Amino acid sequence: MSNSLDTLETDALARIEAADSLDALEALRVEYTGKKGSITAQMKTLGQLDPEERKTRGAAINAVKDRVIGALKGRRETLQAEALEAKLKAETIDVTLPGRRRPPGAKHPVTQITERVSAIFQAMGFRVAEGPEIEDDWHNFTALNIPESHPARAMHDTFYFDANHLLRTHTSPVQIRAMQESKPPLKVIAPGRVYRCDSDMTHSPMFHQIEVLYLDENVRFTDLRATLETFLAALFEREDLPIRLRPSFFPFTEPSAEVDIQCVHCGGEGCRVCKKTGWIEVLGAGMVHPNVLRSVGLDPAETSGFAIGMGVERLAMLRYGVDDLRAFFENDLRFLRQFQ
Amino acid sequence: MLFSENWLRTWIDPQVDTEELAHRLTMAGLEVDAIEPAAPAFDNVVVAEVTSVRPHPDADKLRVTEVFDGETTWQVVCGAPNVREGLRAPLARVGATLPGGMKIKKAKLRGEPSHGMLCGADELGLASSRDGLLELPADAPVGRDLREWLDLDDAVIELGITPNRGDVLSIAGLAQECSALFDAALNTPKTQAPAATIDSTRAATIQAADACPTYLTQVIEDIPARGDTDLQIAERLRRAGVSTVEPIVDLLNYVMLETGQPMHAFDGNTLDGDIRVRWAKAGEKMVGLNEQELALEDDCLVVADASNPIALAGIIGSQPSGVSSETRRIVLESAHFTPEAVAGRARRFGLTTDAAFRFERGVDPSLPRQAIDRAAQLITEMLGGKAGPVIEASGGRELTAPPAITLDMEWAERRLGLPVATDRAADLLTRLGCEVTRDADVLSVVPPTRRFDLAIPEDLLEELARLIGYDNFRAPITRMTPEIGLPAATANTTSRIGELMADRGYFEAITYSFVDRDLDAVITPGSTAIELANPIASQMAVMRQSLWPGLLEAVAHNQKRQQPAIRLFETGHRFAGSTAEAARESGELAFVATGHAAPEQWGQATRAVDFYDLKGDLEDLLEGLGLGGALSFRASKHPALHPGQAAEVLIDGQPVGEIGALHPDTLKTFDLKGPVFAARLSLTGIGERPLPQSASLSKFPRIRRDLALVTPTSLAFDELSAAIRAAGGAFLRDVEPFDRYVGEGVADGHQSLAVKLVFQNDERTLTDDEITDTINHILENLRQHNVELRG
Repeated sequence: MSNSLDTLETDALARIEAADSLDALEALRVEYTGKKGSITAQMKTLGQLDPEERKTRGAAINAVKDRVIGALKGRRETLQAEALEAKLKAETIDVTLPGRRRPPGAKHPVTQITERVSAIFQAMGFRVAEGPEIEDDWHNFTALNIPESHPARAMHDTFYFDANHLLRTHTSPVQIRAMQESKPPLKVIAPGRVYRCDSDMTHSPMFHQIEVLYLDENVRFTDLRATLETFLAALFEREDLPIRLRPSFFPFTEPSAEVDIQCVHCGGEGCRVCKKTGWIEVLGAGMVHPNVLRSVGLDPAETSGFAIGMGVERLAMLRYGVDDLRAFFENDLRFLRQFQ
Repeated sequence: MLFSENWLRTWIDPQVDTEELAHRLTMAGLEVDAIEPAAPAFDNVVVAEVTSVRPHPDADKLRVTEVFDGETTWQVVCGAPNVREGLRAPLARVGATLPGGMKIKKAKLRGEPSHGMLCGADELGLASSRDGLLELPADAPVGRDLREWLDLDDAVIELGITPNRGDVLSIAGLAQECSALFDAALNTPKTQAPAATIDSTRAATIQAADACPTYLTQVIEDIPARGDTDLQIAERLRRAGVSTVEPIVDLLNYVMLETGQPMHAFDGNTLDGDIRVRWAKAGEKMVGLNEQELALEDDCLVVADASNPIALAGIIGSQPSGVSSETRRIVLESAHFTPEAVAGRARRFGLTTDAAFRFERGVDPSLPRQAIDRAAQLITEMLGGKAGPVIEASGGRELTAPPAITLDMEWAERRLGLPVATDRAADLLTRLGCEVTRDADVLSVVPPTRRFDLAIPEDLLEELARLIGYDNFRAPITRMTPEIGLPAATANTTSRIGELMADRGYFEAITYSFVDRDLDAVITPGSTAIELANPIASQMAVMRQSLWPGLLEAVAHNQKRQQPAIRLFETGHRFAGSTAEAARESGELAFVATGHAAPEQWGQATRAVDFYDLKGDLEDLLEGLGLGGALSFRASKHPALHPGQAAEVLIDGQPVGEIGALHPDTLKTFDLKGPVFAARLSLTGIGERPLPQSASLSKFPRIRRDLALVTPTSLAFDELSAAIRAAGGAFLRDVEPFDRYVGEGVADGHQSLAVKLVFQNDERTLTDDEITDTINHILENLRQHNVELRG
């Protein structure tokens, strides 16, 4: 009897170990431990034994049952793990195939520079102002101390509509409008499109400028320089970027300056970009001319200030290494994609 | 402006090299744009004399010459037509290197030995007025090194002179500037006016005193026939970028370059009576020296004789009165014309002349006398002739010194940010030629008459700052009134809009604000675009009434470059109102899409963009701008759009833009491959969003019911949705279509539409019965719209 129980167990464990599917394993479970299973059948024979023997025998059968159930469980876990592994293996994909995309576009490089410049000045407390692109002669010229016969008018190849209306040749008229709208202290930055009647390799009939105006009591020439140093270092992300101011002429500022930065390509050694001078001209600036203040009813004795004007395309060309101005207005996706 | 460094150094010779001189000029506001050598590199070229010329035995065009170089006589074979005995010309000796590196070696030309080469101007990189050998004057020193003799080791410096600095448009002016910059003395050449040897005069009267305060004339007669302009004069002119014309004219140009005073000469035999300076009569005409006929207007100042204008004052002389090589008798003009009398006129006639350039910027009114004396001296000394007396006509107005400018040095410190010692300021201004008187810390400054740009104290601040050096004015910023520059939290800025568009795959374009009239009219028919008076090209003639034309041209550009998917957007002004006077500018966002809806991908079918792609982009954009809930669409007609695929975009029921597929005719006009979809929105219409307001979240479940409906295709989804909502009660939260089918099994003119309904009550869980009742109510209502539950 005990031999047959041993055989049963040996047989069962061997078959469980050999079971190659969960179905086969389930069949074995039924065969051995089900209601009609062979181990259950062994249990049923206990009733014919005397109590002492029944106890020993019962314990032996239960031990076999436990071991068979344990083997079944172990085998099931193994088979389940194998099945999961097989399933996962079957689900393996080529992770190097490209994903399903909706690639982003990009803002125009001119916009990116404009927003960067605006953000820097906003951080210094300047607010963005706007003005019309169709301007009148007074705002574009006269109020900016450029009278009818001034040779500076010849430098602005102007698009006209009629005797009194034109496309603004610079963003400076926004200064005038800002001064007409609010009293000092005044801190505005005015980016926008401007127009000159000129088109060749290095001139576009439309381009972008950014005008900066600061008016307050006793704004000083040294404040202009300090502001420019802060701004240019932030824009070009170079701490202590050397700058220099050269005397120049704008009808609406006095003193006036052209502002150079040390060449960001060669660090001032002299290269193709800076034409071997070590310096690159980046903008114009100056102290607001008293005639400009008077034109909007301000008293130059009480108010002074500075104005800064810069060409956005020029900055974008420098920042991004664009060498053809016309690329900005062709809107070729192959060009625009470079600024993602 | 170009000038010869060596010429300047004859006036003033600061002890600095060319580079330092250029740097100092640049940092003083006279920007050096370029420095070029006056002549290319060459050596071993000397002044030589041709002592004999005989024909070449074996070549018709060559001559065999004997040339004396001061030491030796060489046989040189020469092909120049003007080679002749006695001519002095440059000889490149054996061993010489010419521009471009050519070495001169002993050679045989068709059998005749040649020891060196006789040179033309172009072979030496010099000004050439004729072909052949450069003819040197008969008194040119034979044997002298040509570079040395012609002062060719010189630099031509190009300055970018700002319009306020007319005073430095001459060697004299530059020298005065350098004198102040370097604090060095001037070495002004002496002018010796020729004594009047004849009595001839030509009187002038001034009839426009405001425009011409002074007008000087001088007659010079018996000027002999003349050859080429003196080579040294010609070289200085060449280095100033002025070409030689005729010796008298060349000398007058020379005087202008030297002194800054534009000069003119009339052929004395062509004038009818006395000269008058007057305003032109409307309708008067004059043929200029450039042979251009000028239709004068009454604001043109002219110099006239008794019958005709003989010069547009300060700009250009007339052709008939001009000086030629035949001229023996001239009337010299040296006058002051005010900037106001000259400005803008040259430009109006498309003329650019050295005289106009200077008078527009202002010429020192004290110059005419000195300049006419210098011109008469040079003409009589170099060309010959007899000079009459100088006659001065005055407009009856005394030339007065410019008014004094009061410069308070305490105020100067407040404006500049750093103090300048009063003595130092006085010294610097004196160096510039100002007359300065001091009263404590206040200076009274009378600027020199040549400085038209010095009128107010601020002008003097610039002078002080520039002489001290702008870069020496450094100080920490004193203060700035604290202000916040940020836009309102509820503003939908173009920056935010651009980010949303870029995130959805659109690239920003920047197109011109002026467009082709016809293209603009296709997009905005029936309304007149504002027209430019002087467009640069016909396809840029009118101000855009919409951003679409420019964007569509950009699409065409990219389609021609095989871009498979094109998504572009632009923000900018559109211009309404038919005239500039009545112009209304407003911001617009426009975007377009065509080509693949998504990049070609191995795992999904490629399909073209359609209306709903663009509409989805627009909806997402407005959702991102906080305006999703206020947005609706209404089928509409737009002449540039497909009649069945166009909609008005509304925010809170107000139209703010359009969206649609381009009409086939529009595609054709813009040379586009369709379909192309376009949208545009008024930036004002979408410029403000509400600040988000939070509501508490419901604790009770949402219940979803799907309805499969058969609806007439003529029933717009918005109408269906409205009908469902009307009957759906307060707890119907959402109506969304999720499937649509047209075809077999659905009657013609109908579609099968699966619609998801979502119900929710924030206070309790809705019961099945309640929802079934509501659904029945909805279906009942839908029957009135011929909508049935799908069987």
